[in-house]
Amino acid sequence: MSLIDRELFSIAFKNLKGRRLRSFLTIFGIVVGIAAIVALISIGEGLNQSVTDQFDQLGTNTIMILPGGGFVESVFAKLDDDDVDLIENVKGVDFAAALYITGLQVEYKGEMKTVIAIGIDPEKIEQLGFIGIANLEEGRNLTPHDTTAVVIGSKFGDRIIKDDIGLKQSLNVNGNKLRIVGILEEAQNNFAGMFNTAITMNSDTLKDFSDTKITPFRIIVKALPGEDIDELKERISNQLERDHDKKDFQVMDLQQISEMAGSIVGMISLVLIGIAGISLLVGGIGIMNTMLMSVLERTKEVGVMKAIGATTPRIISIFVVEAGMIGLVGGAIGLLLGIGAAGIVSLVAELTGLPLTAVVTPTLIIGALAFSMGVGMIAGVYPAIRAASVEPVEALRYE
Amino acid sequence: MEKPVIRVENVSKIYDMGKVQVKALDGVSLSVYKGQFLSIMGPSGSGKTTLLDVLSALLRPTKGEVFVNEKPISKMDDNQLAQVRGKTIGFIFQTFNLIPRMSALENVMLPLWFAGKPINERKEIAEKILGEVGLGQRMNHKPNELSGGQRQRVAIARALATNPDVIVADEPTGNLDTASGEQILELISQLNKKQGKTVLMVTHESEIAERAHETIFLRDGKIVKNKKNETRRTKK
Repeated sequence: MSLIDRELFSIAFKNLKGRRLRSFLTIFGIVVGIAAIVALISIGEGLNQSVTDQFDQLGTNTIMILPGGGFVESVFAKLDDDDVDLIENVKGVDFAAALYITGLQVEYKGEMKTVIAIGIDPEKIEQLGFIGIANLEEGRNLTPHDTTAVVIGSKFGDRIIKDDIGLKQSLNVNGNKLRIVGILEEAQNNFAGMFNTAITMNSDTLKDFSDTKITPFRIIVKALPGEDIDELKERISNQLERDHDKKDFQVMDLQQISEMAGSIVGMISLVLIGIAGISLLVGGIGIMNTMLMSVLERTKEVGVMKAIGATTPRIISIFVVEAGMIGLVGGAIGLLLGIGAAGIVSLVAELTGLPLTAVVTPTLIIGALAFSMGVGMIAGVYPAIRAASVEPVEALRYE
Repeated sequence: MEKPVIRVENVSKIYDMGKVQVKALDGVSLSVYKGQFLSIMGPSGSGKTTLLDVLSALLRPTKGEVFVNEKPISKMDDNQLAQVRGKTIGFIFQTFNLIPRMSALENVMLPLWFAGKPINERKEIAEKILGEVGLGQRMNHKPNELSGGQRQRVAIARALATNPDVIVADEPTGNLDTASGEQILELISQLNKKQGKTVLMVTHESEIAERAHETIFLRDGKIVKNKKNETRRTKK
């Protein structure tokens, strides 16, 4: 005789239908808990994938130098233009290139806008192609002779200028014309995402336009093939430290950068897991409470079922499955809310230029449903045992 | 000689109420044979319901032994006992005790589910029996959509579902009007006469008790009188 069959579920369903409102209130904790878990995992999975994409695109032999070391220094620390040459001379370095970044007041069709301008050395544009600035949607890229030519990011027109700006048009900076010669393809990885809404130009021109002295925002270093990244980082670090007389910079490889992102996500995850855990606990206790009430109300019914041949495991299975179904319904609603929340996060991320898309896998869906049902069933065990321990004679005379 | 379906031997049921002990049954011995129709009578508190509970293996006695088909129930655990009940005994209660959320058909299918019968067999048997008790047209109605008499018919169909040897009825007409009560009693009599079911029935009305072959009178937990009912009224 099998204990689990269709009848069991149909009976559980009937019992729940009879107390819809109470069951619905009960599942609230489960809904919140599962929603938090689903949002968390799908966003985490999306982040994971975007980091992986970044690895694939940038390659593992890329090193970045950032200004700043400790907490105080990071405000004042600056990288130097000369650092690029210094690093290029370190053994094992293929090439190094500085990225400059600043806000620039530009005029377009009589309107002033502040835009993000990125400066690079046009001689290195081919080599830097791997970070996503060599592929053009339209036009041509910067060449070493370009001084006042700019390429714009694929979203620059839409998001910043809010006009159909394109090739051969120009932006004015203090009376100087910046001619648009190319439009970049949309960058997919996190790092190159900043090019999407920016203008990119010759770094010498950018320095001339800026009121204050601008220094490298990042120095990107590519290692020679087969080079040990950790040892190379060490050599670069030593070289720079000797030159600067202090360690006011950070040398990171992509692994570390993704770890940094991971630790932030990890912290958010911890908070969400906390919320999820408490909600599920509350949800479980709620289900237990509802089921205990239900056992009391149905004492007589349990007595009848026992009288007409129901065994203890049978009674337990009826109540446990019923509790599991409350959990499952809560889990299904929570799943939808969680997917919705993850969708909103993805949308916000996209609007702010972060290429993060929450990923909802079939495993996540099945896992969330199974988990919510499991929580319900566990919460149902105690009430079910209470129900099954009812003496048939006493239950039958119970009013 | 034929073996009894149910036999109790010197059974007592003592309820411990703290300071006082109440003897609901006091050394009762009784054998019930297949095909017998037995009614149990007695004033309130005489122990007639307790005796029925013990006879139907719902309640374990404090002393003495109960045999179902000559097997002692003290050797069985509660689950084995539940299964023996499911197979051997069909219950009819005064308050019907149907599951309110289930249709008549589902109520009748329930003991068959407990007995481990497959779904199509459950449905087939339940439909057939509901037809026999005259509810073929109302199978998908819930108990609250049925009259008292119809509800008790559903309960009888449920009691018959596993084809038990014994039907136990506790004041089966107690909640019914005279006409419906009469029909239910007739149905129970027919089960005994036509299908050879053993019937045990508790009642406090002598007129009803006289339908049985034999009436047992209880007082203070003891059998005080045992009367054969010569003149059984039978309706056409």
